[in-house]
Amino acid sequence: MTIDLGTAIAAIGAGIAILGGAYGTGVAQAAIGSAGMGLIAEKPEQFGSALLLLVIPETLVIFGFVIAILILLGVGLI
Amino acid sequence: MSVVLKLSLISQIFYTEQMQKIRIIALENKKYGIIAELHKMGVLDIRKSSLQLNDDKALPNIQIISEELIKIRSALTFLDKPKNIVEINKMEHKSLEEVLNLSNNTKPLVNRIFSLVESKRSFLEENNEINNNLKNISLFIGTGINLKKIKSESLEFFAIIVNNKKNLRILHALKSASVNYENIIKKINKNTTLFFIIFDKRDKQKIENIINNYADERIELNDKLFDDYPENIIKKLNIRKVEIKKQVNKINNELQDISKKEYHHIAAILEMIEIEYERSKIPENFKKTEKTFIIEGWVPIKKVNKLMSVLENLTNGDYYFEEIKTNELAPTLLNRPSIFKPFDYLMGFYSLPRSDEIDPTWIFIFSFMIFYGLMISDIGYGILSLIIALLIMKKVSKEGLVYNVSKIWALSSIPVIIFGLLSNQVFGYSLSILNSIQIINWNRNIPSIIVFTVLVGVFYVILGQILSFFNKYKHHEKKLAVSKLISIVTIITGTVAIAGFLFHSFSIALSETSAITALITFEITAILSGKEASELTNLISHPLSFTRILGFGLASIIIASLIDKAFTPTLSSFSIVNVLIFIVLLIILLILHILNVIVGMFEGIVQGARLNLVEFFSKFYIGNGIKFKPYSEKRQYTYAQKYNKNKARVKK
Repeated sequence: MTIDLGTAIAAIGAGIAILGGAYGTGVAQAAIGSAGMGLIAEKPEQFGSALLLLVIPETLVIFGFVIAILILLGVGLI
Repeated sequence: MSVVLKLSLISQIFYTEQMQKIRIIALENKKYGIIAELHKMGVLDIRKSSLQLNDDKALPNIQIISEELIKIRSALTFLDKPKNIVEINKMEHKSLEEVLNLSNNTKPLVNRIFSLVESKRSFLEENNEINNNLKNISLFIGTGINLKKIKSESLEFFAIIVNNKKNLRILHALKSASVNYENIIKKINKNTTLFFIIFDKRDKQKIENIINNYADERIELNDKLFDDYPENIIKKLNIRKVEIKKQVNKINNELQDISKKEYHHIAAILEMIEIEYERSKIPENFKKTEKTFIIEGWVPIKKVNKLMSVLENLTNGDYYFEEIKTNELAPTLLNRPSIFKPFDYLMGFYSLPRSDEIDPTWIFIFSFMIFYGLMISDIGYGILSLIIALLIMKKVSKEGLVYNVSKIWALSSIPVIIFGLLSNQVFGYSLSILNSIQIINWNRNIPSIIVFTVLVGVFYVILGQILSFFNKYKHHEKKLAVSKLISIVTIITGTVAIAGFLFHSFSIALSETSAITALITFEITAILSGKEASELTNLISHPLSFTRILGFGLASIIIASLIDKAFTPTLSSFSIVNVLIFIVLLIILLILHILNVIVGMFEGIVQGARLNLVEFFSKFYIGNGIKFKPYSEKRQYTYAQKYNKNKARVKK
């Protein structure tokens, strides 16, 4: 399978979209996760709230995923 | 009539149990009877009355009950709950007098338990002391020291442990100090030496100074114990240890025997005393006059008549019942079939709904199961997750996070199987017999699925705005309520515009008109929303967030396919090596699929809950409801004396 330069650059762009989202999510979850652990240690009944706060930044990687899908759809890779 | 019935059904589904605040006034001499019956019924959440009257006090017998409670409760802590008991013979809880009599009758048994526990404690203490002495005395093995022979009015001794490097220095210090002494030296290990120094009492101060300078550890010797050669003392102590062990075993056996025969009996008495204690203490929440007492609290409306009937019977009509009109927020009572109770637990992650707002739990249950099913959608994974969930439920206690979450996994495995059928997925494989019913193709229909998930998101955001409209309208925030309705136009026209411009799903003219309408209505919504305008960006981000369904679903299916590609075993010929490779690959395949299922189960529950709680609930949910906590008794080993309903009459 051979692809032209434009398609290759688009594929790299899709990768970067996921990478950026995943990195942002990771940074946010690191901070929230450590704070959440502190909260659970003191108030175990707050486990649910801590878990909920932890998954909120995952939206960033989902946005990255959507952008990647749109790029790949645009260049006909999927 | 049928319309009323339908409305009532909708109210039952979307609102929590309707509550009524009530006030009961009755004569002082009926107090215990009323308390006991309210306790049995468990329908009244008792609150402190706001009436400007004197506070009532606990019942006079609380002191005796409290003493019995402490005694029996502590006795029970020393007994082990018998295992493998299928049926418990429950005791009838008749009256306080009988409970106190029963408690009194157990006095010899309780005293025996305390005496056994005390003896055991003393034996174990002695055993610890012996262990310490053994540790010290074993240092002197081979030294030939016998303190009994050394002991005299003029002599004294010290035993110290010193680092080898200081040996010469300490010997030099002793010599230079011109004191009368004898010392026995024993090398303990590579680095340390034991010094046993016997000296004239008159030189004690000088010797002590030297020891303080050089000793790394000073050994305290019990001279009453040290009355023989070390080897003989160790023998005696070991014999005593064996005796102690026998005694402790004997005590443990007797305690086990008591546990086996009497645990349930004592637990039943404790349960009755605890109930009596709660009954004696509750009047602290009442108000009183000279001859009456006043109870206030919340009761589910459907229980009001039953409560009045019981009061009527107990007091022969000598009571006053009032339904209080108040603006106070009523407590929340969720009344769902027990099978769906675990979802209340998941809702608790966010917060309990207020009694005056729409309870979205049913929508939560429905949408959670759909999202969860879509994210895993594999028949094999559905069955596997059901087995895993049932196994966990069997192993863990019925209360708590793990059991509740496992029950949710078990229930949600059904949509996983259904969506597995619709997407023709069995452990990552497609079966030709299911081709006819396959409507989802995760690998080939990505564009369609992404549009579908965004539309699901749009639907939920619109539904959230509609529910928010009702909530705001009910709380008389009409401006905000209107803004919620207008925002729905923004969402719909915005979606049409995006679909038209990006995917050419609509004509240019319709797309342009929709875009203009979306912008205008967005402006109006922003103006009407006031402080809440900052949340309007969520109208765009939240529908997009639903694409995670595609993301996680795709990830689960791709991983399953990769596992199949790498580890599906094939048997080309029947040789031992081939069969062994086949079995090993099969085991690896199964383990990896189990791991993928477990990851999917966790992701499914977290993401399914998150889509509801963050993207959907944030539109309308207020939460922070006050939990309905009825004054009720909990029984496991006893049953309440039957209440005579014959005389019950209803009078309001």
